[in-house]
Formats: sequence, structure tokens, C-alpha cells
Amino acid sequence: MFLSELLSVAVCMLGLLFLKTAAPFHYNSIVYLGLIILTALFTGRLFRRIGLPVITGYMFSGLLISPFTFGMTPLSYINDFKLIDYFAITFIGMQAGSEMRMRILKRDLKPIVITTIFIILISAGGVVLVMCLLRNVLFTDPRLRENLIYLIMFLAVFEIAKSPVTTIAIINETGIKNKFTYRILGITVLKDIILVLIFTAVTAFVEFHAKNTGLTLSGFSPVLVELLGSLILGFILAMIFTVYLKYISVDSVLFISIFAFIISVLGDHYHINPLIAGISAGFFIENYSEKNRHFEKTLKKLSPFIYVLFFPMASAVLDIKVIPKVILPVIILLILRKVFVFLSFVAASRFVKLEKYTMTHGWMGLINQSGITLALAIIIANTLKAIGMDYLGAYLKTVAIASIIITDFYGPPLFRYAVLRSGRYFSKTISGENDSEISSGTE
Amino acid sequence: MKNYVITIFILFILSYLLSFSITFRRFRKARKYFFFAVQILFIAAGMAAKPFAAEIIEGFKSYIGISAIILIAMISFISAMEFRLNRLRRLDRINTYTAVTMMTATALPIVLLLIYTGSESIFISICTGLFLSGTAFSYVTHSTSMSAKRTVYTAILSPLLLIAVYFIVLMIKQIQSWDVVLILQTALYLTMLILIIPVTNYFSHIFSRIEWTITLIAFIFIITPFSVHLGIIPVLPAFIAGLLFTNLNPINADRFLSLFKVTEKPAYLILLFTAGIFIEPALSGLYLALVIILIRLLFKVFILRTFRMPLKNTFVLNGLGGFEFICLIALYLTNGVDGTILFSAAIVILSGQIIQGVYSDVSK
Repeated sequence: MFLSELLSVAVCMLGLLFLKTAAPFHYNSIVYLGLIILTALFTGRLFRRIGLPVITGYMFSGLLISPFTFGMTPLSYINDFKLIDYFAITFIGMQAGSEMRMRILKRDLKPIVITTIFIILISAGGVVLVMCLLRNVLFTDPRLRENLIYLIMFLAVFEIAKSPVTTIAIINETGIKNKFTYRILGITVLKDIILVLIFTAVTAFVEFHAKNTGLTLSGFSPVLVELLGSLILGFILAMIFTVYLKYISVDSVLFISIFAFIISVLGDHYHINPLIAGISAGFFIENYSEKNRHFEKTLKKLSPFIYVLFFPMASAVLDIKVIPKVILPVIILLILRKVFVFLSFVAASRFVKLEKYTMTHGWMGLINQSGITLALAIIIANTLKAIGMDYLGAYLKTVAIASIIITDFYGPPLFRYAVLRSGRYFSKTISGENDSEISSGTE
Repeated sequence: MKNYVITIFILFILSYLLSFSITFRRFRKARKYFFFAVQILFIAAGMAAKPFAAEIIEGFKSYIGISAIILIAMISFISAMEFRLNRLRRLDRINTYTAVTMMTATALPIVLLLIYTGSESIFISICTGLFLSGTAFSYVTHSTSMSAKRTVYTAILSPLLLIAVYFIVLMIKQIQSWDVVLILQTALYLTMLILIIPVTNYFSHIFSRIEWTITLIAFIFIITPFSVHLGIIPVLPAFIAGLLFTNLNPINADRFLSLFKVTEKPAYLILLFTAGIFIEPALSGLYLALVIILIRLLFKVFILRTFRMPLKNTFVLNGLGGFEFICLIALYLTNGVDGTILFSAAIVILSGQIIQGVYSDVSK
């Protein structure tokens, strides 16, 4: 079976190669899409067979079919297929929101908040300190050294970034939902929200400082409006969905897709954050709607289709050839990430009650950066280009991409390992109630 | 592409609002015609979107056109999955004779009418006549009691005959054009299809239901563009694939059919919107539709009764369903049928549904 799956992947790749060399005909982009889906599906099965997460397989298949790796798929087609991002980001946000149950959050809010604050402070502060100490080794290019402070600030922001996308995907794949997974998901989501604020602050500071203009609080109002708007939009859509399910209740799969798409389109035009709006919608439906079970079932039906399209496309835009150019700073940043997150959990455990398992294994759930870091890197590159710091922007983007590629491959397997192992220490619950430890969490 | 998707979604929301209204008791009796109203909504919306869709019309070779063709292939595949060929063992000569006579007797006048009204291509006229002579088999089989078995079997045979005759007509057309490469490509393509399905069917037991659904969708994405490239309407290969799939492994097919069925109605409605964009309403089209309706009524119902064919509730056979309409839309998108004929076809199909709906309970 392993061989048959490997053979299937090879056949799909040959199909892509054949398409690439043959004369193009109308709609051959759709044939590419079909072959990409099959490649992703069989690669996912292959990775599952060797004990790795299916989504890692999807991401690996994205690198295989990427226009930058072997040139299998034209870049224009990959950009065309990005329409799936409109569904995926919001949909995954809804999944994340629906995992946040109030009765668990009420118990866990304080540990989540305290741990998140420690992670942000220690990770960001630690990176700034280490990068300053190693600046003569890592950043020898004079174009980087002349804007060193900006470089280090943005690297500190990257250090905090963590995408909830893969967290949700792994939790769904394993089917394990216990205190450990709730904590990690809660920390990831909260970090995401705080990251948006910090990122805005840092970008505003860099812009104003570079232009020698004063930094005012009004620079923050757009992002606060965006956050608040996203939360309110999610709430409104949750109400609409509840009414729909109560009185109509047909084609709920299609209705959720419409939901997700509308949020994303509004995000484009009115600066709504689709991920946060999705989280908000999922949260309100889960906690305040009588149709929460129906909603969860519908999300579960849709998720395999979304993942098999989204993750390969997300990886396909990454250029693997950039890794050698920035390998040293990336490796150091990745090592620091693990160390500081681990230290953050240890420090937080002094102030709030954290199980030993969460303290020792929590860092495994906060490695993978994925889409959010890339989005930040693109914004940073554009911002810096606008103020005449093209090289710095390009460098940061390269570091981000290299970091994403590397963490995409060991982040999900590590988290999956931690989640599977957590089943031994926490009683597995679906409802989230009666979540008590089997042992005291000690080994 | 984004605007097209947004418009489709708004239409779905409107249709859901419409369905919300029929949850009120006073409108319950209208429930029967709810889907009919939704179809009109989507076609009308497509027609209304036409002034804003210039780029769509000119560049149907953009993703709007191919997404419509993929939806067509999916619906054909799903429709074919309802055909269990072992039912045909119960057919007798009378059923076969009735079905063939009915189809020929209905198609021939329609074809002649289309040629007379100035259709440029005999091939298009023959295909259009063929599709407009069909019968909505799924509606018949679900709404007619099994005591009217002959009616049911005749309805089952109708689309199979339709596809078979279309295939023959297509082969004749290709042979006539002496395009050897095209004929060879078509033969190779259909042979590969016939071989691939049993091979993939063999692997179906090792996939989960979701994985297998994703695999089938990916195959549809792969085979459909080749169909268009070869000038075959995508209905044909998808129908063959669905037929093979459901008959080689009926137990598995039942598992997947329920999952696929969820997508059938939304896909069909999206196609109606796309068809609405290409429809060109005209008085001549309305007259053509009325004549075709009369031909169908005359030949299907009255001739069968006159010759005392042992069929109950022949009015039920007068309906045309989504399958025939998608065949026509596919014909339009791949061969460029006149938009007025598409308009006529829409009227024929929708009116057929009304007639079918009104008389469907007679045999129960």
C-alpha cells in the first residue's frame, strides 16, 4: 500500500510534467487543479502511513508542485486558485472559534492570558537581546546594519507569530480534545489577536521614525476599528446562521461556504480581518446558539475538502531556494523560539496553575507559523519599500519564508505527537466537561 | 470570477429567504412549486446579470465557462449513479419499443422544426431535438407508484437511449469530417475512461468516503477539459463513468451517492444562473417553445394513448428534468447553440415540470 501510494504520487507528478511539456489547450488549468488535488491526497496518505500528520503531507505536496521548486505548475494558475483562501481562512477561524467553549474558558482564562503574556514578553524580549548580541555575526551586510533596530524589531514580531490554522487541523485530525489542546488553541488565538496590535504598533513606529514624524495614538485607531469590526461582524453572522438553521436548515454546507466567502470579501473591501471574524462567528454560535452541534457537524464535513486545497496552495507559493541564503539567522531564531516558549511556560507556572505536561510539552504546539507570518512579511516588505528600505523588506520576507518552510515540516508532527501523548495524561473529552487529569500530570 | 461567485451566493441567500416564507402554514401548499420558483429566480437573475457580464459572455472560455462545464460533468456523473442496469432485465419488448418510438416520434419533428427555423448546423439540431425529447426519469421514478412499472421502466430507458444516440451522432459527425486524429483521440479517451473506472473502483475500498469523494471530484476536473478539447459535451464521459462506477460496485456507490447528492441541487442552480447569462429571450423563441411543448404533448401522450400502449399516467412522461437541460447547456457552451434556442428549451423544461407536477399524483 505504501508503494501504491508512492506510485500514485509519481503518476500524478508525471501527469503534471506531461501537461507542462504538452501544448496547452483550453482549460488545462483545471486539469492542473485535478492533478494537484490527487497529488496532495496521495501525499497526505503517504505521510499518514509513516506517522506524520496528513496536513504536513499536503504542504509537502505543495512544495513538490510549486512553480519555484521543479516548476511543475505555472505561477499564474497557483494565483488563480488562491480563491480558495477566501473560504479557507474564515472557515478555519470558525473552526477555531467553535472550539472555544465558555465553560472551559471561564476555568482556563487566567492561565491562557498569563501564559500568552509571558510568551510574548519573553520571546520578543529574548530575540531582541540575542540578536543585538549576535549582530556582528548574523548581519554583516551594511544595508542591514544601517537599519538594524528595525530589523530586530520585526524579527521579534515574527517570533510571536503563530497560525491557528495548523493547530486546528491537527486537533481535528487526532480527534483529541482535552485541557492541553484547549490551552494551546486558546494561547494561539489570543496571541494572534495581540500580534495584530503589536505588529501595527511596530510598523507605525518604524514608519514614523524613518520619516522623522511624531507617533500619535490616532495611528492605532484603524487597527482597533478593524478588530472591533471583525468581532461585531462575526457576531452578526452568528445570529443569521442560527436563524437560518432554526427555520430553514437545508444545504447548511453551502450556507456555511457562503458565510465564509462573504466574510472574506468584506475583509477585502472594508478591512475586516476574516480570521478574527470567523473566530468570533464560531465562538458565538458554539456558546450562544442552540444549533451549535449542527454547526460543528457541518464544519467537520467541509474540512477535508478545504484542507486538501488550502494547504498545498499555501505551500506552493513558497520558494525553497531562499533557505540557503538566510539559513544561519533562521536556525538561531527557530532554536530561540523553542527555548523562549519553554521558558515562558515555566515562568507562567509560577503565577498560575499549569499542569506539568502542559509546561513541558506546550512549546510543541507553538512552533508552526504558516500563513500568518507570510502575510505579515508581505505587508512589512511593502511598507519598507514605500519608505525606501527595499533591501530590508526583501530580507525579512526571505527570513519569514525560510522559517515557514522549515517549521511547516516539523511543527505539525511535533504538535501531533504532543496531542497524542496528552491523551495519556488528560481524560479525552468531546464536550469539554469533566476534563480532569488521569494522573496529576506527572510522569 | 469573484463577482460571479458573489452573485451566485446572493442568489442562494434569496432562495433561502424564499424557502423561509414557505415554512409559514398558509404557504405550505405552495411547497410543491417551490423548486420551480427557485429555478425561475436563478435563470432570471442570470438574464438580469447579462448587461454586467460582458466579459463573461465574450470570454466564456474563462473560468465561468469551465466551472459550468465541470458542474455539468458532476451532475451527469451523479445522475448516472442512479442507474442500475440490472433493472433493465425487467424490460420487455413493449417497454423498449415504446421508449424508442416515443423518443423518435418526439425528436424527429423537433429536429425538422429546428432545421426549418434556420438552424445552421444539422448536428446541433439533431442533438437539441434529442435532448428535448427526453423524460425526467428521476422525477418519474420517485413520484410514480411502482404499480405503473411500465411507465417507470420507459422513463429509465429514456436518458440511456438519449446518451447512446448522442454518442452515435457524435461518431458519425467525426467520421464525416475525416478528422482521423480527432476520432483516434476520442476513441483513446473513451477507452481510457472505461479502463480507469474499474481500476479506481478496485481501490475504493481502501479509501474513506471523504477521500474517495475528493478523488472522484479530482477525476472530474481532469477528464472534463479533455472532453471540451475533443468537442464532446462533458455529459457523455461523466455519464459513462457514473454508469460504470455504480454498476461495478453498487454497495460502495450507494455510500458515495448520498454525499454527492448534497452537491447536485446547488450545482444545478448555479448552472441555471450561468445559462441565464447566455439566454437570449425573443418572441420567436417563445413561439418555438410553444410548438415544441405541443409536439411533446401530442406525440408522447396522445399517440401512446391512440395506439393503446400499455402505459399508465403518460402525462408524467411529459416532464423534462435537469439532466436534459444540462445537456443543452453543455451543447451550448461547447458548440455555440443560439441563445434563443436555449430560451425556448428553458420554457419547455419548466413547463414540463409544471405539467408533470400537476399529474404526478394520478397513479398513486
